[in-house]
Amino acid sequence: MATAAESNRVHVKSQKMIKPQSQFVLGLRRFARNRLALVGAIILFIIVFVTVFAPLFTHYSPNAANIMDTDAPPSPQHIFGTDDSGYDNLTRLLYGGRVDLTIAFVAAFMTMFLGTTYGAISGYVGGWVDSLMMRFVDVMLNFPFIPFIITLEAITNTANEWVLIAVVGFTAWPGAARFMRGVFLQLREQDYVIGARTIGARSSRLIFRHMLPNSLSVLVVLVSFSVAGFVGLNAGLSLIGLGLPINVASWGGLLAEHSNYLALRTEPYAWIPPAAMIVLTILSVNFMGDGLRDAFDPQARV
Amino acid sequence: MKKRTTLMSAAAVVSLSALLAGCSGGIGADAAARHDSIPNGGTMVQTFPTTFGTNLIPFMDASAYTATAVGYSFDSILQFNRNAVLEGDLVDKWSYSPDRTTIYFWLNPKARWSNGLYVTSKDVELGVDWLASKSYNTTYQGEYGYLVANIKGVPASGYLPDGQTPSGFKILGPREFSISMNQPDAAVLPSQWSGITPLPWYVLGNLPMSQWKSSAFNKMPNIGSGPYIMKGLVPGQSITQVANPYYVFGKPHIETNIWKVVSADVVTGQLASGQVTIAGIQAKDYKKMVALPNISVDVTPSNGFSYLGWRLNNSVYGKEFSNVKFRQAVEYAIDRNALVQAIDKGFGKPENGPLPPINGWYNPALNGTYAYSPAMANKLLDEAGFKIVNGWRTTPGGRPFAPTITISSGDTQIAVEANFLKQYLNAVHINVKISAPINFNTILNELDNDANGKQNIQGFFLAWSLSTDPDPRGLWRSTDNLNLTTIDWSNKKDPAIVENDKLIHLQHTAAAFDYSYRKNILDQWQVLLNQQLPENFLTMDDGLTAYNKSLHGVVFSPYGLLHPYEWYLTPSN
Amino acid sequence: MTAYIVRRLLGLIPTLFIITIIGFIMMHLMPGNAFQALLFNPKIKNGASLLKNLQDQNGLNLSWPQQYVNWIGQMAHGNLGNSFEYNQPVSQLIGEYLPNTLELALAAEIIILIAGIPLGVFQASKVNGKFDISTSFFAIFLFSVPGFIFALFLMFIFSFMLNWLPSIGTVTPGVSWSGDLGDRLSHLILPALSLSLPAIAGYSRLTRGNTLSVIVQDYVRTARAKGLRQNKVLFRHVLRNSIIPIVTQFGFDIGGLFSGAVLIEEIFTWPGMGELSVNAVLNRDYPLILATLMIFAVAVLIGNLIADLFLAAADPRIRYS
Repeated sequence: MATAAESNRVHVKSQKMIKPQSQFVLGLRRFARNRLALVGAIILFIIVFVTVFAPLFTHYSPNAANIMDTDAPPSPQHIFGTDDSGYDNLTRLLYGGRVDLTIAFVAAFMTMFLGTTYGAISGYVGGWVDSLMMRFVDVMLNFPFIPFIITLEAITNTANEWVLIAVVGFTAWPGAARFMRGVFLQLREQDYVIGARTIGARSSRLIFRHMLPNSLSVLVVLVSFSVAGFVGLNAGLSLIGLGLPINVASWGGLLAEHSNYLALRTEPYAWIPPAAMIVLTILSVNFMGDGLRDAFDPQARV
Repeated sequence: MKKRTTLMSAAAVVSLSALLAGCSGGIGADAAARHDSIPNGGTMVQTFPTTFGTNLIPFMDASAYTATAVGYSFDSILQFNRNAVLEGDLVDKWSYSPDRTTIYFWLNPKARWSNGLYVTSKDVELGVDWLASKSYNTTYQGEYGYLVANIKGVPASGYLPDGQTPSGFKILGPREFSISMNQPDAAVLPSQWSGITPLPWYVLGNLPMSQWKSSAFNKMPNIGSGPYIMKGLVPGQSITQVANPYYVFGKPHIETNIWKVVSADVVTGQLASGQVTIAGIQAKDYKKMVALPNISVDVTPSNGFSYLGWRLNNSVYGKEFSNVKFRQAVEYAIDRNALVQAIDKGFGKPENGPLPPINGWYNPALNGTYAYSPAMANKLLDEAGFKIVNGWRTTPGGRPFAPTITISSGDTQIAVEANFLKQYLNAVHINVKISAPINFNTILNELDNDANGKQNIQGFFLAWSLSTDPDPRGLWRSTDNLNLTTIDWSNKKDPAIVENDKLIHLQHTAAAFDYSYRKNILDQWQVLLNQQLPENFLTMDDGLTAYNKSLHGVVFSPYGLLHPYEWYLTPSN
Repeated sequence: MTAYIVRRLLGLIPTLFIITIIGFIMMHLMPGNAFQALLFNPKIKNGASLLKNLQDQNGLNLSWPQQYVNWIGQMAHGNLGNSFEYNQPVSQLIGEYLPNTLELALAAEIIILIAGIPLGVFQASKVNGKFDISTSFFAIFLFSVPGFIFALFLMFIFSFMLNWLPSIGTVTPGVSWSGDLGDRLSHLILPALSLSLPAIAGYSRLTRGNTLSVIVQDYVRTARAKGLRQNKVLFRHVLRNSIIPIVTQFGFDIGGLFSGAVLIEEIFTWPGMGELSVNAVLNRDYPLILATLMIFAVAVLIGNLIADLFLAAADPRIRYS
């Protein structure tokens, strides 16, 4: 009997010590259990690691055109050969990742930021303000993405990645705004919001303290899918001649440079790595996004 | 063709129909027998890298590709053979008057339109009227109006009211006519009048020229005087032509000629699979194309060169660019041999003056000038006062010196080469930047409208594609519009420019009818330009043409692919 | 229903209005008034007064609202300006190139619906089975590869290596069977596939989700209890109810299809609106750039309208909202 009482006491003690886990942490745990998502996260981490620490893996500079050694096939000095300007392909692959990833992430964040702010205000305020704001978003959504981007490029003459990011952010925010507005509309009707309002909480407090954190999970998923969408964007634009100038290394530029018949057939070492990097990045981000969505909102899983 | 974007100069334009060379004189029995044993029929496919314009009356459209296709349908009165010697085309005999101010022409009795009607002097007159007309020169693109500008009776404005014939053009008979000029001019025939193209009077003669653009004949000319007549057109995709049974040099062997729009990325694939018969390729593709079993590749020097131009009247840096030491330093700073190796893979030569090495009038004394020497470049820049501050040179007045070089889009090789140029100039501490690629026509537009130097363009990297005759008029005189709008080498106080104008004048006067005299003058002129470097001459890039082994008879020349009516296809297995 | 249609059409007008305003603003942001360049042309004497005349003639000295009204009036008459690059009226160019894009988009749409919907339905009918999981994984993979990479691959394999299919243009020039149905189809396959493959994945997942939510409904259980065969159940009851949202979703996704078409058309040299707008941008041909953008926007507008009408026809609740 004594043992039973002891074990009871122990039991009670350990119960007291368990903290309630927040939604967030629970979500993370669910995420960790999703194998595909984990694999995606690991791959993404590796990719980001090699691009950020590129100097560790290659001693060539991505900007030193070597006129003496152009179009060389793979050799011990150049594992992936060199391109038209004598740049080492491996170097351009690693440093180029920085550019594509920067464009993808920054543009995604910018889009989310603009879109969420707009959508939150619209969804929260409601009424005719909401209708008007959404009207504008609807109109903007009528312009297809890529034609709009290239039109803006014609006006701004993109010469570097920041202009491109600005252009992308400017074109893509309506989609995010519409989505987030829907989320906020939903959240507005939640009990805790109504409750908070009843006791007189200010709007800004409501938005920032209550609604935004709860929309975070949706936001994170949306960001991940946006990133996936934007990674290929630079590549696509380079392919039609509207990407970054050639002295800026990027996966898109590498792919575009080698997308003619002869390069496709005879220089697989030149185009397969950037294509693989693009696809791998998009895949891993998509898996992570899928995993995040399942983790934070299990009911969404069908 | 190597897709180097080319700038068509006024006088120095490739007169495309004048490119088609022919057999001179009659066909002997031997040649006739050979001609008969050659297989007839078949279809060949040639390419354009991008879309073309759809105005098919000669000289109407601004697109160079349209001009090429139209050139196959409408011949000019004379043409050049592979050695740049003038020969007969629709005209087979011509002679000068004793005072050299008039040339008499006789049309080839075999010259006919594709429906059998004979080509007459009235057709030639219509062709001249068209080029001299107000409609052509003001409403339409007017680029080839210069071909008739030197005919007596054409006013200084360069045009006459529609339909009015210049007084210098006289019809002497159904097949005879004469053209007169004001002063004896040795170059006007090869560089201008040879390109005059007869137009069918019975179709267009009674239609006002202002309505030609919207006419059915402009959309699809159903007759022509060239080897291939227009048959069909799919906008943005292809032009189809069929052999002209009444062609002046005999019906072409190949029955159908198709021009397809094929982008640079896929043209090599299309060549390999046989869907395209003949097309230009880039130097770096040479090795791989030559290795294909069904492909041959021809390498021919081209009659043109690439250059780095500077707006000498630019409001920001014009004064600095105008200093000849600056331009000479730039020439020393760039290793042109290395450029030929890297960009042309050895298929090319460094360019030293205004005429390319292949040109018969080229002065070999220019070879080897400005050998790569950063030391010389630095020395010249120091002498000119471009001091180095914080690693970059400033202007002699102390301002930061950071010129921008404008490049054209459309060919990735241009950006690659510009990148190398930047590195070379950076190595001598000139802080040069390369612009984002701009469309070629936009560059031309900006240059054309920059009389006060206020446009954005400072330096620019372009190329010339020259005409067969070396006559520098139209491009290099200080009064020439193209000079003013390209580099603006027109400062009359500069003795070099005075000398330039004088030499250019001498090379076309009456005395220049003597070959050695003209050669001497042109040699001096080339040396002058090599010393003065109004623009920095870079490289002459060979033209590489890949073609299917079943295609025979093509004459490759620096002036284009000649004799399309002699080409034939052997059946491929 | 008619009332809904009328309301919807009336609602289009303010949207069209704002679209044209945005277009007008962009037009003025574009650098380079064609007439200003004349000022610097040495051949033109007295450039300043000529400039003023031309600007007056072309209404450039009027107030912006007045210019806007003129511009709208011109557009209503079909005059969209002149292309610098092609030297042809823009409306003529669009007339030549737009049908090709519509042909491509339609073909892609058909492929997406024919492939995606049955796939989704079968996935749902055997939910979480081997078929479902393997094809779902494949679907995410398809979804992650950008359309243009597909295009390069397809062109590489089927055109360059196997030489089965052409890789340029819409028809084969110069042969007697040019323009035939077979000829057009052989040119259409590769671009249409490239355009549709990434979307098939999305649509199959959508269908799967919708079908699943329908399958658990009571009336399906009743049908099964009645003894109806699985296939009949699937296609007669389930599909009919889940298909509408998918088809309407398609109307909303037209914008994405046009977006993708731009890249695909460039790669396959397909002479459509995409290639037209890319060439226009590369050449800074401003009238053409503007016109193509507006046409795209209007096309998306119409697509949305049709989708909305479809939805309203299927779901009465919407008509009365």
